[in-house]
Amino acid sequence: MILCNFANQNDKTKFLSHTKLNENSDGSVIIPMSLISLARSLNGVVTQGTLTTHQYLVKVGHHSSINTPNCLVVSNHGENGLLKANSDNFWVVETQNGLALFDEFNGNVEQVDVPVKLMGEITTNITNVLPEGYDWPRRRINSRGRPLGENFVLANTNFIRKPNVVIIDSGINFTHQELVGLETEDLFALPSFNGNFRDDAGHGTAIASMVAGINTGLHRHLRLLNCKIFNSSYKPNAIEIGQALDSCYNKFMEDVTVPMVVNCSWTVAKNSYLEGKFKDLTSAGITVVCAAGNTGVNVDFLTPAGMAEVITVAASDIDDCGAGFNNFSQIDLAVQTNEGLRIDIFAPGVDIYGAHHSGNDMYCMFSGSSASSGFVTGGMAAILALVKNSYRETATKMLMDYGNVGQLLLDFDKFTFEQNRLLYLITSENHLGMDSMSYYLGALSLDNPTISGKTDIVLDYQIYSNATGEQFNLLVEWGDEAPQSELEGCITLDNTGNFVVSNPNLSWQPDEKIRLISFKVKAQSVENSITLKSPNIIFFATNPNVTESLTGDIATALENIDNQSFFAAWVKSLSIK
Amino acid sequence: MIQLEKKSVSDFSDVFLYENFLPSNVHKQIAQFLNGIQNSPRFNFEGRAINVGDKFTKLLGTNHYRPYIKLWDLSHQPSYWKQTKTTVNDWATNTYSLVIPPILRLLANRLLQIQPLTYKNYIPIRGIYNLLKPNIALDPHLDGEGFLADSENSILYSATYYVDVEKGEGGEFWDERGLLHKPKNNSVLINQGNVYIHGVRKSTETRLGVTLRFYAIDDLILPTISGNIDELLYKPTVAVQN
Repeated sequence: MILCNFANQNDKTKFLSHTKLNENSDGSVIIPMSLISLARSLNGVVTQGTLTTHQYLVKVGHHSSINTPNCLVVSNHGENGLLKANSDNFWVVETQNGLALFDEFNGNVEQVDVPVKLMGEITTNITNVLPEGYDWPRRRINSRGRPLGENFVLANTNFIRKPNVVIIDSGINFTHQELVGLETEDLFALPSFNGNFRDDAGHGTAIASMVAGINTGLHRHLRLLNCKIFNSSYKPNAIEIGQALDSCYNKFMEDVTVPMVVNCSWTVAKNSYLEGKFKDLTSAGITVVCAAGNTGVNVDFLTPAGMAEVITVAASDIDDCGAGFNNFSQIDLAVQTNEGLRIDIFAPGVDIYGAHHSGNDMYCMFSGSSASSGFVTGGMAAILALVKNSYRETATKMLMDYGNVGQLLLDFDKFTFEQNRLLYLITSENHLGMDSMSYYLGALSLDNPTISGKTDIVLDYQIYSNATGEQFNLLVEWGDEAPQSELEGCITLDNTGNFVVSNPNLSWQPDEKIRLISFKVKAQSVENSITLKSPNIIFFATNPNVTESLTGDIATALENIDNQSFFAAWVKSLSIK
Repeated sequence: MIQLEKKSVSDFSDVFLYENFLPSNVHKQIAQFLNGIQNSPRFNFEGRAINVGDKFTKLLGTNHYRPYIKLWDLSHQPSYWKQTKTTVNDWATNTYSLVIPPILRLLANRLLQIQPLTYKNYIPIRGIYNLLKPNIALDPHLDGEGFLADSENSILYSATYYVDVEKGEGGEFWDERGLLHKPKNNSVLINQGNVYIHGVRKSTETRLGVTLRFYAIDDLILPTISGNIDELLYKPTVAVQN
């Protein structure tokens, strides 16, 4: 146990406010090794408390240089006590005086026993019926703005591969009805769990359901891998977490053409050994998504949330406000771009329904950045499944570029404008909420023989194209107002989305003066991975044989716009017969 | 062409101007939000529809040069039409979070704390993304929808929050009484939108803002007495389309 005492109350207050630690009744504060430097920088006097044998990880070339009295290398870990992480050597040693060890090696010492925090908790409402409105997180992630789309709708897609998605958590109950039908694998469990991969703590199953649940998740074209490091009564130490990360690395190395996302909805106090392990993953091309944490502290003191190499996710609520419990990053406040941030993106994380471990048809309400992390993992898996040659770096950039910018209300003291980015799912049907409506271009006439327009008014394929680098072919899909043969050629559409409409060569009925024609623009990626479709675009074609002005006829049709048809629209929406 | 005498905001007791209206970081976030949606297709149901033959078509938008993007309209929520004057205030407060982006909710709440929006109980019925491209004027017009309130006997306040309007020549707000006002960023101009014809002159640069329209609850035409839609005071004359 390492203790810190402050002579100055202001220094202590500052330290406690930064770290959210509690002081003892005698005014001292028990601190983890990772905070010794911070405590000393605030004039804290750090001392070794009760001498108790603990294991530590010492970053040093060879154990022979460790001279702390009564310090033993624990040789039953790694190769004779040597663990490697990102090219660094860490020796597992045992000593009663961790502080002496820390000082001998200028801080290059980590605790093995790390305080692990799961970043989500079941708040209430354990049920076997998903309540009305439960789906708001998916609809939020599927919508560019407000009001949200009424349903969670996905575009037509042809996935090119199934990424491996690893949930490092409390285990997963694959038999839950939300997860049925997925390809799954039990990848790793701590030896002390004796081969029990199932979830008795209610965290991993919920997170998995936010990634890939039928009703609660975002993306299902993936392989779901279970990496169990917790149960309801046991939390892992740094060496065990390192083993779990090694299992992910080894799995990835079996076939590096299969991309991998690793979800970590938990944090530990900053730990350079584990950060080395995470860097092993990210430098190999594995995407790591993690929760920012829920205690309102600075993630710069946490692993992996405080790492620039991983995607750290904070939580937003149903109103698009940042959750009050979010951790933040002091370092990010000075970053002026969206690259190199600690907290990278937001996703829904307050009052989220997910699978509950207590039964295959049970659900619970869940809050925390754990849930947000699960959604971003699902979003990342969708990119990796859909976009050719997307791996960690490119896919992360796509995730950021495709996000909804500026739509959240954040605490300006904790977050920057560059962090105001909300997850948007790449496979979303992007005209969600518009598909029952039509975009009106105008009326063709002798005076107005052509109408020009631009597809991006109603279709955001170019945002997709810019984010993914994929090129699109644009096609016109006609409505049923006239035979296709009569409509062919009356629209010229270039690949930048500009189109020009001219009067089609229609067969006109006697007394027919004007006809409303509709079409859609289909944007099909060259790789055929995704097809995005615009809502209806409409215009009036006019009978060229009618010599009189048709302005009045068109105006009459349009007159219906303002009042009566409005009421018809809302009466219809109220389902009055 | 009639040349009106140029007058400033201070010449009118019914036009309200607030400069440096919001803290700079809130102003910046509103700018970020509005810039962020510039290139996105938007849900933009204008409450309009076309009946041609047997086809009933709701309009998503029209091919205007000025991207008239409706950010929200409370009257497009079907439940709006079930409200009465005693329920609509609470209903609106609950509905804001569903339809109004939070940074604009913050703006709306701030506006509701200043004159003239403290005179009565107002609700921000509609929000409009206000982007004028270079050399495009906002033509003379009156604000308001006849089905929401009696335009001749009520006042609709239009509050425009200016985000990025200072660059370039022109871009002045004007009204039929001779008011001519060149706005500044982070200012709000509140005018009686349904009373005096108004518009915006062409600017040499893009001009970005957001307009919130406020109706007093007492002025709203709510078609039911009890909230029961079977007791509509207003009977639509058109057939309901299936």
